[in-house]
Amino acid sequence: MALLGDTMRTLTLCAFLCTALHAQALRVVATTHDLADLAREVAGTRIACEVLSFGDQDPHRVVAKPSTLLKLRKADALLLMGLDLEHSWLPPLLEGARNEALTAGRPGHIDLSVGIEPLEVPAQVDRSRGTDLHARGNPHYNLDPEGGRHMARRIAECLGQLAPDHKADFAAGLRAFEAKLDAKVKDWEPEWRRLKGAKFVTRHGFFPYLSKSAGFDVIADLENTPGLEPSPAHVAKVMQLMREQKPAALLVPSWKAGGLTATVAEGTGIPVLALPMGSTGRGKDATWLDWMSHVISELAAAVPETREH
Amino acid sequence: MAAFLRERSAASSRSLPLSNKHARVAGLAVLATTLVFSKPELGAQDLQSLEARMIAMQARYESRIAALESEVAGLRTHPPLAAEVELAATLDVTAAKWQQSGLSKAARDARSAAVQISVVADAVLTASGRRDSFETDNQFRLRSVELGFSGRLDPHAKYAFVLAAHEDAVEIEDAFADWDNGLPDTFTLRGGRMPVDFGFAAPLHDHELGFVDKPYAVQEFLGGRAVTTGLALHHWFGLGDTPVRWSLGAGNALQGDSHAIQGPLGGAHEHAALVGAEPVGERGIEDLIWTARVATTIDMAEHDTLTLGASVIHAPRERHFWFADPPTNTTVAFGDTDRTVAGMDVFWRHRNPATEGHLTIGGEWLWSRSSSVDDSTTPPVVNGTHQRADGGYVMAEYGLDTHWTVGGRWELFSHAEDRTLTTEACAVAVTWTLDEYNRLRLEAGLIDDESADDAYGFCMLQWTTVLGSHNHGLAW
Ligand SMILES: [Zn+2]
Repeated sequence: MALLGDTMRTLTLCAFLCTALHAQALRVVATTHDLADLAREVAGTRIACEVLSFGDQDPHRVVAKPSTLLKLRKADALLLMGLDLEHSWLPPLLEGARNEALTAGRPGHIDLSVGIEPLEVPAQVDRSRGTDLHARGNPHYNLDPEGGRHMARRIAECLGQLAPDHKADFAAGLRAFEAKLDAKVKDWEPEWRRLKGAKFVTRHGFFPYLSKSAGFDVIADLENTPGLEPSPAHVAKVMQLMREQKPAALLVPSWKAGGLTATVAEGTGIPVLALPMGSTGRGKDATWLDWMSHVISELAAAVPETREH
Repeated sequence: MAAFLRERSAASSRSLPLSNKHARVAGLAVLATTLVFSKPELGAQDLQSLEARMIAMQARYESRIAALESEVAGLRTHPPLAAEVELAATLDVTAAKWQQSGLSKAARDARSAAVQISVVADAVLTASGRRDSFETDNQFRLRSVELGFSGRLDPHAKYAFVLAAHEDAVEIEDAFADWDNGLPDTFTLRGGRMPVDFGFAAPLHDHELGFVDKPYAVQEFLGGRAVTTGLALHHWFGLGDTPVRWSLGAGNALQGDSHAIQGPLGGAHEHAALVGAEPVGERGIEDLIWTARVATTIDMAEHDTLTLGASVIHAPRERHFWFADPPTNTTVAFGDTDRTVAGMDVFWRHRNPATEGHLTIGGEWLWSRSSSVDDSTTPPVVNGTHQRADGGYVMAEYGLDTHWTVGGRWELFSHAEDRTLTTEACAVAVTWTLDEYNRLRLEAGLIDDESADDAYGFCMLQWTTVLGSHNHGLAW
């Protein structure tokens, strides 16, 4: 009841400050910019979305701010990637925000990983070297056209349950988005052909979903346990493999471009391709579709021309 | 004067808190609800034996974790409900991920049973040019081994229990429960033995600091990590888009912990640890200490925040002790005093996600007013007048990435007993985070201590290892 009162107060205040349209907007908090962008594609101005992290930062280690508590407290819905992507930082914030609408099991708690078949689910969790960030399988399904499609569909479905009056609008938004995505997928065909069979080495497992769809090989990962500093022995082994197999590039997240990455690139002569691991709202990575295009074109450009038939 | 202070501090490393009845009751209550924890009486021991115990403890809890994991695995084999997909998480976050609704009873039981366990070991090597060398000087000491448990008691309450073993004592640092979801809005009621909600540095555990020691000014007026046994009400709300939090607490006495100071000032400035540490006789409600804090964190930009806070603590009746016989540590209470300390803190924090680095600039200033003690007589007397003193520090910390941090701190404070004597100190620290578990810190600095009529340089090397999950949440 108190919560209802809070929501009403918030909505009243909003009506006073914003347009009438915004007054009816669902307040949504998205843990990543991708989720916020896809939600906007689907729901347009029917939602007012707050973003907790961007594609140029590690989604596993977002530093919380007190204002985040307030955003979560006011929200009607929370969009999260799930599969433990946010497990080191989101649960304490949710606990502190005390917003019952966002607790698991409520329609406002929208876990986008539901319905995803996770890749790389470990047979057993090895705790000896610390916390495995992918203990329930790989959570980076946003880096894949079909992953994006799944996310948009699930957002439309779940927001439709929260705001049944706008179900048809969300369905229309989803159709428009899927048409855009289908057109893009057609555009990417040359890149797709070029990527097929190409070899890459990665730093952190951001690429399994895309490599499966596009048919390229990730021959090794610099990290032996997701999220932990690699052991020197493992790095030496990967460098040896890189010298032998000459992958097209070392794919690293933008925040890991220096340090070990640079050392490995120097020692093997393999070029580094540092990319944001999600959309950022700016430049080439403004939207999820922009970022997807950016990543796919950069990856394809890294593959030597001779490979193309 | 200085000799007197040192005599007092010589006994300040005795284990005072364990004999505190309230702390013991709170501690036992928390323990009973979690685990049967065997033998907390680690006495005076050498490094090896402490390490061996630590490893044995770790093995024991790892086997418990394994058992809980298989329990969770059993739950997983049943097709999970949509809401239970969340459940199949690693155990170290299970407690934090407690959800109020939508889980089956079995799932709830698994969650409430989950305990977050952490072990923190902290060792410091000190070298200083101090003229009257102290027992903590020029040697390598295991400062503390801290064993922490935390988790949910039920959907409405959570707990934290931290036991710290020092070279010559064991103390309960924290033993409190938070009632959160049972209370309306964002109110939380904390009860038990808890850190006093005062400023930035005072409530932190030693290993959470950016420097080897607590700021000396905080130690001077509050006794390092100030703790009390009592109740505190916390609440936060939004003032527009700006979060504001406040707290109000009452406790039996203000106690500084006994191991806060490791550096060359160690021993010299821990007046508060002894003052009021062991209340004698009847203490009525009018004798309770009161604390209050209000703080806000303003978002200046996407990755920039500004935290502003104000705190106050009032201790109306503190028993003062006097060392009648230093060799046998015989103390005699000679009178009651009162004390009020107010503080302001300002911190600007910037994060750079592109490099995973950060920059923090901030400081605190404290004002103290306390009864005057005339220690020219034997025994000393509380003479009915009041004295004022103030002091604080400014600091900057720059994290280049997740591995390297450099920091600097400058301090100035007048002494609580005699404001004509001031101490000025500065320090530079370089911290190297080797991996998830290990951290090395080299700190060097200068101290000009008028109370000891001495000025000297010092250098400290600190090694900290953290095992297990450790999450202290937001600092504001
Ligand atoms: Zn990951």
